[in-house]
Amino acid sequence: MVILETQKSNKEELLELQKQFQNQCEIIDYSSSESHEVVQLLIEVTKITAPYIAGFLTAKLSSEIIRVKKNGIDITTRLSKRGINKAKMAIELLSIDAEEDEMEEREERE
Amino acid sequence: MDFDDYIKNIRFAVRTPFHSDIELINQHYEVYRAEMLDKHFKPMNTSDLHLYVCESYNIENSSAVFKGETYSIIDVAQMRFLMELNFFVMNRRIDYLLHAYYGIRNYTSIVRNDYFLEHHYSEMACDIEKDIIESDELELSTRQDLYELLCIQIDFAILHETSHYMLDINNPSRTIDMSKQNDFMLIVINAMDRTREMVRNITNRNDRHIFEELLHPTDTLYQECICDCSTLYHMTHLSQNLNGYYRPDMAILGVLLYLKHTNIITQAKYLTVIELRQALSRYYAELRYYVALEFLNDLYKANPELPHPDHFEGILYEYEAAFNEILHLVMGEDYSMLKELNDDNSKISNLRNTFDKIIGSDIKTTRLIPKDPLFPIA
Repeated sequence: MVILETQKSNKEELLELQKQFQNQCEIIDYSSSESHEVVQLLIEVTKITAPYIAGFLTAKLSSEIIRVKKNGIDITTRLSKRGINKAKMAIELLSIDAEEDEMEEREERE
Repeated sequence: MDFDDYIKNIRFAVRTPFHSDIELINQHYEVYRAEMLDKHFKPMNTSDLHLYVCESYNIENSSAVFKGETYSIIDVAQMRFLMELNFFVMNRRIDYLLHAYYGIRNYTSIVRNDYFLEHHYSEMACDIEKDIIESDELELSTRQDLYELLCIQIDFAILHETSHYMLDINNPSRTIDMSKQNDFMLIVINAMDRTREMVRNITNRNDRHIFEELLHPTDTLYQECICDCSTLYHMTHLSQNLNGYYRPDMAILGVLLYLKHTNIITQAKYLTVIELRQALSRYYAELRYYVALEFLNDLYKANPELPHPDHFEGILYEYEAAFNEILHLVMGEDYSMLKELNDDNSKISNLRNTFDKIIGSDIKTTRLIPKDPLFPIA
C-alpha cells in the first residue's frame, strides 16, 4: 500500500483516482499541526492499480502537488532533482577519493 | 483495509506501545468522554470517535477521518519528549534539554533519511555550561508534580485532537464568519488578531515572505488555535469543577509548557528543512503559543479566580533562553553542517570538507529506542 497526499484545496486530484478504484482505496482527511490539513488516498498497489498510480505520479511529478508516503516516510523527495543532484555529487566525491588514493600510491612508489 | 493498515503506512512505528502507556492514555480519554464530551458537546454522538495510541518516529499527534469515523492519534514518542522537556523545567539541568534534542533529531533523521551526527553532538555538549540556569528553584520538585504535569499535557493532546472533530461538526464549512460565531469564537479571533498585529510589528522586512501566510492565516491555523483555546477553556473549567483532578495553576502551566515544547520539538525536527511549508510549521507553533497566552489573559479577565498567565512568565522565559542557548551552540553547528551537506549549490570542495568533518568525527547512526514504558506505575 502507498499513501498519496495533497492539500485539501487540491482534493479533486485524488478523487479522480479514487473513482476508478473504489474497492482498493480509502480517502482520509488528516490533520496535524505540522502537516496542516491534507487529504490522503490510501491505495493498494496491485498489478491493476500500479500502472495508474505510476502514470498519475509521473503526470504530477514536477508540480509537487502530490506527496507520496510509505511506511511513515515521505518518499517524494527521492524522485526530486535535488535528490538526483545529491547522488551525482556523491559519485563525484567517490571518484575524487579514488584519484587521491592513486596519487598517494604513486608518491609512495616514487 | 483497516485503520491499522493505514497507521502502518502513515507512520514509521517504533514498536507497539507498552500496555501501561495505552491504558493510562485511555483512562484519561474516558474521563474526558464522561466529564466533557458527553456533557458539553451534546447532542453530538461520540460513539464514532476513537482514540488510537501509537509510538512512532514521526513524533506527532494528529486526527484522521477514516471510513466516516474519527480517530485521535496520540503518539507516545511525543509524550516521552514532553516528559524529558518537563524534567528540564523541573530540575533546571541543561542535560535534559540537550538529551531531548538529540533524541528528536535521532528519531526524525530515521524518518527523513537524514544524517544524525551523534558524536558531533557529544563533543558540543561538553562546551555547554551545565548550570546556565541561575534563578530560584521552582516549586515543582516532586515526582507527583511531574506526573501531574504530564497528565495535563496528555489531556491537552487528547482534547485538542478530539476538538478537531467537535469543531468540524459545529462548523462544517470550516469558515469563520464572525457575525455568526458565539462569544467564545470571538474571544479566540480577537486573541489571534492581537497576536497577528504583534507579529506584524516585530517582523523583519526580510522575513516578510514567510510571515505573509501568518498575516493572512489559512483555515488550518484558525482551526489549530481554536482547538487550543477551546481545550484550554475546558481544561480550566475541569480543573475548577472536577475537584482534585488537577490544580488550575498546574493546568495552565502544563498547557503553556506543552505549546512551548511543541515549538521546540518542531524546530528540532525541521532543523535542516528550508521548505516554506515546513518553515511555516515552526512559526505556526510559536504563533499558537502567543494566541493561547492572549486567550488566557481574556479568560483571566472573565474569571479572576484563575491564575494570571504572567505568573508563569519567569519560568517560560528562562526555558526559552536556555533553549536559545542550545539553538546557537549545538543546533547552530548542526544546522550549518547539514545545510552544507544538503545544499544543491555548494561546490564539491565544500561538500568534501563537510564529509571530512563528519568522517573525522566518527559518526554513528543509531536507533534510540527507550526500553521502559512511559508510565510504569499505571
